[in-house]
Amino acid sequence: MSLVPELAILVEKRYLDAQHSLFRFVFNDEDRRKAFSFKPGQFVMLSIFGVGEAPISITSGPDEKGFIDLCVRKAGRVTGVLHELEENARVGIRGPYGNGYPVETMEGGNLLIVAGGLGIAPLRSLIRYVLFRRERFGEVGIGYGARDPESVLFYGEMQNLLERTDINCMLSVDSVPENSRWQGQVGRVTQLLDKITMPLEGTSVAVCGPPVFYKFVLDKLLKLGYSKGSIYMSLERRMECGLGKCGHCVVGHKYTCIDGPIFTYWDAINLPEIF
Amino acid sequence: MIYRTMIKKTLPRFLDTVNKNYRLIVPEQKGKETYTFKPYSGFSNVATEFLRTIIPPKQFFLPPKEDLFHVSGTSDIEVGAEEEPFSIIFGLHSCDLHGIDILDKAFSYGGKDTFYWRRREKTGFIGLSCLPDKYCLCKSMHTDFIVDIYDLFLYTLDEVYMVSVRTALGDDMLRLCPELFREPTGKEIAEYKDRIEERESMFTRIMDITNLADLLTLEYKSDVWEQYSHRCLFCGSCVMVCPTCQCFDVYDSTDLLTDITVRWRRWDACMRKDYALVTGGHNFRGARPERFRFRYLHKEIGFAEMHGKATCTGCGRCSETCPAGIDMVEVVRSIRE
Ligand SMILES: Cc1cc2nc3c(=O)[nH]c(=O)nc-3n(C[C@H](O)[C@H](O)[C@H](O)COP(=O)(O)OP(=O)(O)OC[C@H]3O[C@@H](n4cnc5c(N)ncnc54)[C@H](O)[C@@H]3O)c2cc1C
Ligand code: SF4
Ligand code: SF4
Ligand code: FES
Repeated sequence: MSLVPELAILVEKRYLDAQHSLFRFVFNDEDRRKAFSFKPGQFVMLSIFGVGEAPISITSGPDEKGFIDLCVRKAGRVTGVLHELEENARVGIRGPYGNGYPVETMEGGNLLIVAGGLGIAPLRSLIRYVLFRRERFGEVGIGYGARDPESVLFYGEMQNLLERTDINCMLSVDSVPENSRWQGQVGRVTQLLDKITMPLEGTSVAVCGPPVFYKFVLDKLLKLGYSKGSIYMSLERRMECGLGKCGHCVVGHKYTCIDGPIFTYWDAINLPEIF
Repeated sequence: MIYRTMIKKTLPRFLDTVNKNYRLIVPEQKGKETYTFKPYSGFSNVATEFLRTIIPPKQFFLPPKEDLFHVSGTSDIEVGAEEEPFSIIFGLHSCDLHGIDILDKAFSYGGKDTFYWRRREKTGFIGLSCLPDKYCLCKSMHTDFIVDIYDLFLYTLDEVYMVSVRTALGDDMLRLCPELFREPTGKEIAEYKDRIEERESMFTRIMDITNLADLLTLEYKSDVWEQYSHRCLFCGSCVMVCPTCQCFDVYDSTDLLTDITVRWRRWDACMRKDYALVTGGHNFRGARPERFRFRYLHKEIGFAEMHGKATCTGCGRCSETCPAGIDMVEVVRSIRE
């Protein structure tokens, strides 16, 4: 039912770094657990009763059934309390919401994924979707940038991707503090885009990261010659309902929660107040 | 559709009968020139010649504050049962019926809002014709006339009401006292035509909305927004009284003694400073001109792009209510010039 979540249990909590943890939830209701399906790029509204709700992207892959993984940054009230929760705590979840990435359109072509910081959360779901059916995609490139080596999320998984020959994956960090070890690139994530070369024809680009990141990456992608219509970005807006009713996420004439959060760059620049 | 006439003097009998069968809600006079919708308490309190209530009928489907569910540390999530009887709202003018039509669309787009619809589905409408005052803008917004949404619509003539029966529910109401209704005569039809014409000529306020969506987009960076935003107090009154403003916020409160959490929602206004603020401090619409402009853009373009209809019904409430004397017609004229 709209606006009414379903009970779920926090079954596992994995520390990623001081700001981020990975949380695994299962619905109390077994039928719901089995029936829950979603597309990469969709999100849920996570409730902590007595505190409130927050929209969070699903970071597990759509083929992983029975649970929902959320990668959450400690940012405010709801997310703050979430980080304090012990395993077996009760929460509420409703969703999935939003349009998700147009995976049907992306299949059959090449895919370039560009993530900055926590932007990896929804893209990790897309990556898992691709890994599960790698043969349906042409060339696949992944560029992931973080502030420093400490803040590379899912480092182990990234390491596995770096080793694969059927995926061109590259990591970079803005800077490396002394006494820190780093073997990847140093510099802005945009520099990776010079190295991960993909044909311009038939390539979809999925981008997600903080506002400054978008600014640089989109600029770079246009310079490289990608079409605005082939670049997919995920917008962040204030959300109270996730259902296209409360009005808070409206950009121009679109609701980020139901018409988005994934928009092509072309659609996005046609909305006023986009950044 | 069927048309009937009813002698005006028999309206009390009709409403008394409707009230026995449904929960009847009617307009009542509140202050000198203010009106409000109230449960029926006898015909003597019913206002039949009035223009706009302070709070529009949206209050019945989207209450200013409403509980969504309760939950405790161990209980299931419980959605409060809504045991309201079937209601009939009497005295809705064309603009307010259009307002309900717009809310119906808004609360259906992308999936039905169950809280809105569980009340809306149990409500019928008796419309009532009106004559415009200096604030009415419905003619410009093409909402001065309506052919759906209502169950019955009463057009006021000299001696009788011309009654348009739109739905089976309307017919049911008629059949509660069939003796009050009869076929319209030729003379009554002629009088009805005269009245429409007469009413049309009474509109003094006209807002030119030709290509308004284009103009607002082209004048996105106009100084007009800046100028008005200095006058606007950002009190949100225009939003609260608007029949189609639907925004809300969601909250939790926990009773410390019982450990029961209630989640509730409350009307919100896009004019508010932190309306578009996200965690981390980024505000997508923090500046005053941006907030002022947004309401106009959303009223005139946003919704129309999706549903082919602007969300302003021209009811005039915002212009009448604004403490700063800001008038939509004036704002649109400034944009046009
Ligand atoms: C589509 C989408 C996907 C997201 N995915 C993730 C993710 O995977 N991981 C992650 O860590 N974060 C994600 N976020 C951001 C996350 O929703 C905010 O960090 C979170 O809402 C903060 O809530 P809070 O109560 O902890 O913060 P507070 O600052 O205490 O929140 C106060 C109020 O502001 C509202 N609010 C504040 N910021 C936002 C916002 N950005 N979006 C919606 N409502 C907001 C809250 O609903 C709350 O009512 C996503 C946001 C969106 C819109
Ligand atoms: S009622 Fe008038 S002063 Fe108040 S927010 Fe609306 S336009 Fe501004
Ligand atoms: S914007 Fe003003 S005139 Fe238009 S429907 Fe809302 S309150 Fe009425
Ligand atoms: S979050 Fe409420 S309308 Fe999008």
